[in-house]
Amino acid sequence: MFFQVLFQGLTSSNTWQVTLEFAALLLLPALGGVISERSGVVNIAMEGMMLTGAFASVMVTLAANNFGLSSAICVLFGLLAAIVAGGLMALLHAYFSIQFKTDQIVSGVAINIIALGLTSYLLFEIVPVGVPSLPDRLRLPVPPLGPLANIPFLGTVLFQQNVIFYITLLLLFGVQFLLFRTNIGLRIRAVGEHPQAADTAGVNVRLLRYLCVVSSGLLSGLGGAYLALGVAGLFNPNMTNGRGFIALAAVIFGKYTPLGAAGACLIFGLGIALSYALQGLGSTANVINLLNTLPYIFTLVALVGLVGRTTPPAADGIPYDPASD
Amino acid sequence: MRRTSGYIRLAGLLTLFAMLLAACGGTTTGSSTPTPGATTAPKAKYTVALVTDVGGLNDGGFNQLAHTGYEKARAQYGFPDVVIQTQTPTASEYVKNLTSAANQADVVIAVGFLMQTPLDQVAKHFTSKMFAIVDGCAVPDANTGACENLSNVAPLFFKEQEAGCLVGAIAGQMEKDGKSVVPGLLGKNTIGAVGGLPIPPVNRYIAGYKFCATKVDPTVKVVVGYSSNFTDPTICKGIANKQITDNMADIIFQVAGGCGIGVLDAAAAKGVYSIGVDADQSKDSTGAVRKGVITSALKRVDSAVFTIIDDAEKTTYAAFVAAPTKFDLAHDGVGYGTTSSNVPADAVTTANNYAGMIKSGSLVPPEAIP
Repeated sequence: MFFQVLFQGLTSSNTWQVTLEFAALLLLPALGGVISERSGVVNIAMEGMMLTGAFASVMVTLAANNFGLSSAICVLFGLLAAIVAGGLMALLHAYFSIQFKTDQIVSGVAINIIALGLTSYLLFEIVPVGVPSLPDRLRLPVPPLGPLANIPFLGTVLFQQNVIFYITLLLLFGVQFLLFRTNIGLRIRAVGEHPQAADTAGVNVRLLRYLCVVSSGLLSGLGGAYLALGVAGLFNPNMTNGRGFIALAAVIFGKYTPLGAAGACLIFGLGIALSYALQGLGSTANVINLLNTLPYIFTLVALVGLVGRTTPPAADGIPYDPASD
Repeated sequence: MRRTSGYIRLAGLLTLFAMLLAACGGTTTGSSTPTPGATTAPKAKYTVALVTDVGGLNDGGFNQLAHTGYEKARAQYGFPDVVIQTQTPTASEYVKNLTSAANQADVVIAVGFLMQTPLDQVAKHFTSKMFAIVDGCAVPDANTGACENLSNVAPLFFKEQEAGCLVGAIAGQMEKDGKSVVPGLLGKNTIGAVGGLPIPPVNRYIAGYKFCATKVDPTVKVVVGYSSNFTDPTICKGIANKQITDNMADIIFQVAGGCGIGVLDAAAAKGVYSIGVDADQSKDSTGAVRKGVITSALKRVDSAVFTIIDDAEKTTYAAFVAAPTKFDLAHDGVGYGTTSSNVPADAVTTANNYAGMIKSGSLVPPEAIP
């Protein structure tokens, strides 16, 4: 029974479509995490940044719609608002952890809590009744890819994804290139490994760290827009449901590289997609609660087996103080 | 670190602490003082606080309905607005929110099954205050789940299985009528349900739904899934999509609150039908009709909350606790909502016939999923 359901799940195009969608949703904050951690700032606040982005995307889109702007413009405003909102939350994290040298974990936790409280509060102030949901015309579209989308199996899996999915793919290779093939990437990594040495060599450590942390917010905010404005079409309090934390796990399992994180996101995505398929196993029992945790257990085992020990950048989490040694 | 002055760090820490307190303690909305000189509302005998579950006051369902009932009572009795919203579903936060509510008001309404055990603890501490819990009772031991009769806790139970039965009867009749009458059906005689957690109120809905759908059309197959979640719409959407594409389910009943809006969305995108829950979900927040939503299973949390506040103000609270009413079809505590144009007339007739049978006692939908 179990293997039959598993086989059905693995051969269904829906499973793979969901896998890629879920992976891309995780990958955006994960890419942000990679950039931030590589520059030496621990970022556990992707969850909050993503949630803020999701909130801003839906609220701004609805507000623009109320002004009578055309649908495409509304969605574009929503998308930009999400990115900016994520960036602002990240700026807060950067300000605390770089300027005030606050413990980066504490600052991250604070951002997550502020994001949850603030979005829930504002939601009720702005929309006193009902879940703010969007009609199809006010969502990020699935681009029509013509004949490609009609290919059996692969068409569904690869070519019927939301427009942000394809942007995420571009960003993945862009960030990988930026970090490992460019001058600025070398500087970012140097700042994360040995900021004193980088400083001596003339790199502006603070500025670079600021830029990296804010980029992580921009990417997480974009992830929030993908979630709320693309996939779900609505905003709910706490709708990110821990994705930012799973993304953080993907960063670590991916050995702090974009491609590695993408691999980890894919495995998480497959786990989630399979948990949908496994729903058929225990129809009424409480067992389903356990089945729903199966992807996480399976993922941890798979990743620990595949990846083994990962080493963070040497100066990760340590505030830079030019005066010390 | 050495150069950061001490008081800046202290200030940062204090700010953080304040924010933590504010966020963890739930958000309290509204002013704590009644409008002075308000002559229209009579003076309330008791003040009332509402503690909501996760999902927020505008979840378009459960919490929102509780708040509607609370506001109705407030308009009538004019007590100050004390609403505490739970942010994370942990026992410690429930206890903290309930305690804070009991410190601020005479009557405390806890919204949701998950607060049963925390409420038991808090109610025993504040013996002079009156408590009520939607969907539950005071439970001293979460492992057994058995109710404890406390003289200061009013359990507000619903017969969700009756509402589930009525929407199940509509779904069953539509399947029986088939594609020629209902063009969106997929022809496999399969309907679905997506629950949040497999907790009693959710399962009662699904039990009634399955029981009555198969009673109308014995050949109908019912697939049931759970999201383990009430807030993330993408999970419910994923499960619903799976039921539509793999099981060919063409009518799906959402029993997962805010998560379940994803079910309505999935059904609309695939051109099949869905059923809303708790509140009438035929329209979205912009007032636009939701495509594919054929009806909603209603649970009048608003009337239950109003009833118990009304009882408290009229000092008949003790009488209610002595013999708690279950909010059922006969007491207008449950029902079904607006039916869409996709619902054929005979399905509405069937639902109304079943409602008659339930009220007369000749049909008793089960509490456990058959």
